Amino acid sequence: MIKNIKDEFPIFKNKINGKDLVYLDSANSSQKPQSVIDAVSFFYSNEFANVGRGIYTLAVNASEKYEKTRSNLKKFIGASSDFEIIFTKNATESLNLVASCFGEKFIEKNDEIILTETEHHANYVPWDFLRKRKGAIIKFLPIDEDGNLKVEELEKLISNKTKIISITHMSNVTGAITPLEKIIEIAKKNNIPVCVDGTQGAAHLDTDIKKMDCDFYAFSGHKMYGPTGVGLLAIKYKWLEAFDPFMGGGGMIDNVTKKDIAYARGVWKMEAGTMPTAEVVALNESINFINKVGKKNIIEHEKKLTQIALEKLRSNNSVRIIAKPKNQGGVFSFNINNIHSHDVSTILDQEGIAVRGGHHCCQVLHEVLKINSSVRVSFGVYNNESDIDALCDGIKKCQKIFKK
Amino acid sequence: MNTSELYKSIILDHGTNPRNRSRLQTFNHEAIGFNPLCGDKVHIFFNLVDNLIDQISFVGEGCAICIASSSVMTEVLKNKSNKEVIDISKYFINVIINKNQPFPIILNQDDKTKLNSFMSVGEFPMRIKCATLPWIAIESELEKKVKKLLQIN
Repeated sequence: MIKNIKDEFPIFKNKINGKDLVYLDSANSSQKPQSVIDAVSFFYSNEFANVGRGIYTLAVNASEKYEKTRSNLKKFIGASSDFEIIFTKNATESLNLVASCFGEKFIEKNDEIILTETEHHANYVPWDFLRKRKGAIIKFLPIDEDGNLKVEELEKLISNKTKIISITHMSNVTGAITPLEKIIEIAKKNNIPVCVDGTQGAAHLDTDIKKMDCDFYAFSGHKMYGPTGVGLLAIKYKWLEAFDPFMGGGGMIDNVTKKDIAYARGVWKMEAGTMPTAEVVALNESINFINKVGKKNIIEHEKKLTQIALEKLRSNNSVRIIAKPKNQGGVFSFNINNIHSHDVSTILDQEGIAVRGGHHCCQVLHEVLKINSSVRVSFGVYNNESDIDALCDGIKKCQKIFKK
Repeated sequence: MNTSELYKSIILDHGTNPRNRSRLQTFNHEAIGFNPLCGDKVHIFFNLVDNLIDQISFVGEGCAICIASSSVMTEVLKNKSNKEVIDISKYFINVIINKNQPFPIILNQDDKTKLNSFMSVGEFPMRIKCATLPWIAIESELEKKVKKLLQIN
């Protein structure tokens, strides 16, 4: 099934700088299958209306489709009935929603928030707002030299001031998969809610949030072969009830008078203004796509490619892989001796290879690993072994240019 | 444009063996250029005597283009006056962004060759900032000085 999957992604029919596209940046955003692209076009051509407002046929049907994505997403991430899913703009907004709404109600001066050294800026900056606004304290769960979280140190970090733990499902730089079960078990024992940044997890890892038993799971549509503009937040109903609205506007109200405003209940409270309607509707197709290929097959495929790539790169003495996590998904980062990641990225680009150079929105992690930047490779369902061969040839080209 | 044209021998030479890459023992001015998007950072030190740069150096982390640009800059700007620095900065930035209409300036051939070797960077829009980073840093430091002088007078 995975063998011919590239054919379903029209972008691969194009040449990049005269070469076949080798897309190794799915941790940044994934490419889209034809079915998702068609769904956007079909909805606009035949079915478009704003949702949750009009009572005419088009509006009712559009609302139904929008809600169908919500219910399919719940199944997709294994959400039990005590979870709801809120649509946002992206995972970043989902994390901002949690930090802002949780912080407003439950964080006081000197309260503590636990993050990890591997967090993407999207799961650090929103909490920094609380540090600045509320005088909260942020603590970081450290990593060891291989890039594994030192889970055994979590209990030491927890105090009676710890109000929330917010952690990534998988590092977007090293590919280290977080041992969420252990962390959430410790958190639950101490009665601390857990927010998971599932941006890298949703399309690439087993995502059963009922089993996981987190309180929040933030992810985005565009990283799971879906359209940009849709973020998701799975939220335990009790928190949704406890939170005040994140943004104000149309659609999120119940009754408005000059004197007072009553807010809508449930997810509607959090979805102010016109939402990315066509994108949400098309996201349903990306869920269908992932289900059709099979999440298990995708995980296996990407893990296998990672191991093959790592083995090949390790045979090149000038390449240094920046971490060696115990449990690794389809992501890793490396540097070539004496060549900066941006030079590598530019040279690979001329070979049609898309990789990311820089700190990948993880400055803290790079500081901890004592490197300035790195080149990141991240796999998606459409990658294959010839992509790895192209990468290896590209790396040799970088070395050749810099040996002059 | 292919990458071997981007990584011309002057850029590669200065990028991998940068000149004047150290902290000056004595200096009366410094400028920092930082690109938060990629983490490139250059710290420039220079000594202005009677509005003339008599010593200049830099330290920093970055890609070959950024380091080469900083290195070439320290060579070209030595013994140049305040005003010349600003003009040469404008020339350099123009070479990259608007190569058909270089900023009018009198330069010796050696300096010109070094600066013009960055022309191809303009073909790689994402890399323009790498090359201009140290120049913008020193230019804004000097402009600050000019502003200060104007305020005093």
